[in-house]
Amino acid sequence: MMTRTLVALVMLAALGGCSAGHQLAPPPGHLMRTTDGQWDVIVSSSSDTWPLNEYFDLEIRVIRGPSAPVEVRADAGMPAHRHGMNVQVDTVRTTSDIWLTQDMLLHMPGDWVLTIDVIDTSGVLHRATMPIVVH
Amino acid sequence: MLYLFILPAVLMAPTLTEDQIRTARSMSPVPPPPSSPTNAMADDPAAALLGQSLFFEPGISGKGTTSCSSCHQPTLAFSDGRHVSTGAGVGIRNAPTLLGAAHQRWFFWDGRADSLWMQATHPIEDPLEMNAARGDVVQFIAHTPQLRRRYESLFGPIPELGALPAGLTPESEQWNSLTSTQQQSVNEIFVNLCKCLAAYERQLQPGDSDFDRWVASFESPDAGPALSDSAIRGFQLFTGDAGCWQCHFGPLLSDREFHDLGLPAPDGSPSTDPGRGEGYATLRASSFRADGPWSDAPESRAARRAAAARIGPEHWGAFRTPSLRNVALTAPYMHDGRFASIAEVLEFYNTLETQARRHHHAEDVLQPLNLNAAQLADLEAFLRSLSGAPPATHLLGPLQDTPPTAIPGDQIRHSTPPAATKGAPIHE
Repeated sequence: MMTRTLVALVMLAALGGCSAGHQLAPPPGHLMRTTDGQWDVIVSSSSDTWPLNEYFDLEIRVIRGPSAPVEVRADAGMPAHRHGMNVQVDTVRTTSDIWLTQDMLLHMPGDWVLTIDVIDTSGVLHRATMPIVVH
Repeated sequence: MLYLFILPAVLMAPTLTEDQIRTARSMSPVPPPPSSPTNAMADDPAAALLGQSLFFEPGISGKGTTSCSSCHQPTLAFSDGRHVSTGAGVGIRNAPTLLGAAHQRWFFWDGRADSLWMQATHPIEDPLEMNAARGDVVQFIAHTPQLRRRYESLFGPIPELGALPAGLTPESEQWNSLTSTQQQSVNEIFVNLCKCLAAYERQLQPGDSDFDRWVASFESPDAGPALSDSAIRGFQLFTGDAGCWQCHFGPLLSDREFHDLGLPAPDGSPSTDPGRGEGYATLRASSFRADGPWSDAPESRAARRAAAARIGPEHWGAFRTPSLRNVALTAPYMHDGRFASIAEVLEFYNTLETQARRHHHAEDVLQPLNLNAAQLADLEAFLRSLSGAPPATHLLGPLQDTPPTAIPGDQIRHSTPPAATKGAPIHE
């Protein structure tokens, strides 16, 4: 997990100049790439860690893609347990390329998968996933 | 020869890893309850006093014989020792302890309330519990001088409502004969009373237990007696291989969410109780929910979070994870009180032999523990170490100046003028 995060941060440095419309360096976060490789997003949590059973917010910054996304969604689940979160979250655009998901809740310790979906102008859903461990 | 190697290991006290110490610290002590923004009276001492009066008051039940304390008895850690509760009728669920209830995110086994004050609105009117009519409760308060004074010192004069018809509820035909102002007043008084009940219940905190003293001893060895080796081994199992900690973590030893254990119906077939599947619908249909018109902060983050609850197929048959604080004092166990002892509960988890499910949507959390008898005894020893001291004595019964029920006319001698009640110390 730590290794993955470090790799992500190193990649962030390399990708810093790719963020169209943003001169500032992107905040620390986790780089996620959609499975088709078309989109990159940086996900930052309002919490220092992935908090156990405490609400937190996600900032999702779209830093690379073929066009502006129409919609971004965030979700999380525990595949081994076959359940998701017990909350329904909405992701809203706050600026042209930043989206905010409020009140995520990972209610159990263990292995979760964070999912970010990017919906393009054609309605195609592009999915990025990241395993996270909640202690 | 083999014994020479095994014996010292058996006699050695269990040692804790850094992870186990960190986990133990995350479970103790129990902090103060979280804020309750949807209840403006939540931390008002005078409201708590009125709530305490009401909690032990059978006069607010339909027949005048049942109070909140009938099913939440102080001597039984605010549970009732029955499989399922009996009030005006026989219920279908076990009465949970109220100790630590204010920490919960959802209330009732099926989460049909999203605040402690909303919880209080249910049993008063439930035909199987207190079976009172809302109008009768309001009339009782209006005609019981001590309660009326306490109420009016908090909320102002009770409006003149005239002679409300007996048995008045929003579902009754008579309700439509009331003016909208009268309906509003009846509802407002009822909600205010429930918010006061919640203010009292927020004070019912789990007391320090042997487990808490053990955790405190990590910092200060003089803090109290250590747990038995058996209980420490039980803690290690609980937070380790047995996996109990997946749902029972934190100071309350509960994730405060819902899980389907696959507990069968009495005949062994899959249960027909929808649990959270029904509780969620009941919650959303109520005007007493956190984001509803009777909330004191319907736009608050807390209210929005409650409104964002998600219901999915896996929630059918799911019930809220109970706190394990004081678990040894609150038998019988599970949502329907089916298990008489902790040992029976552990036996269920140990084999899952009786598990039965009606559908394929259930989450996949449980695995048989496959523990031996000594390990089960260790787990039970740990669970028994979670029993704490009861709340302060003055919280364990009716207020000294409160009569057991309404007395005709103002014949009650008051120890405190209403104007001085607000902000008074809890202890009278």
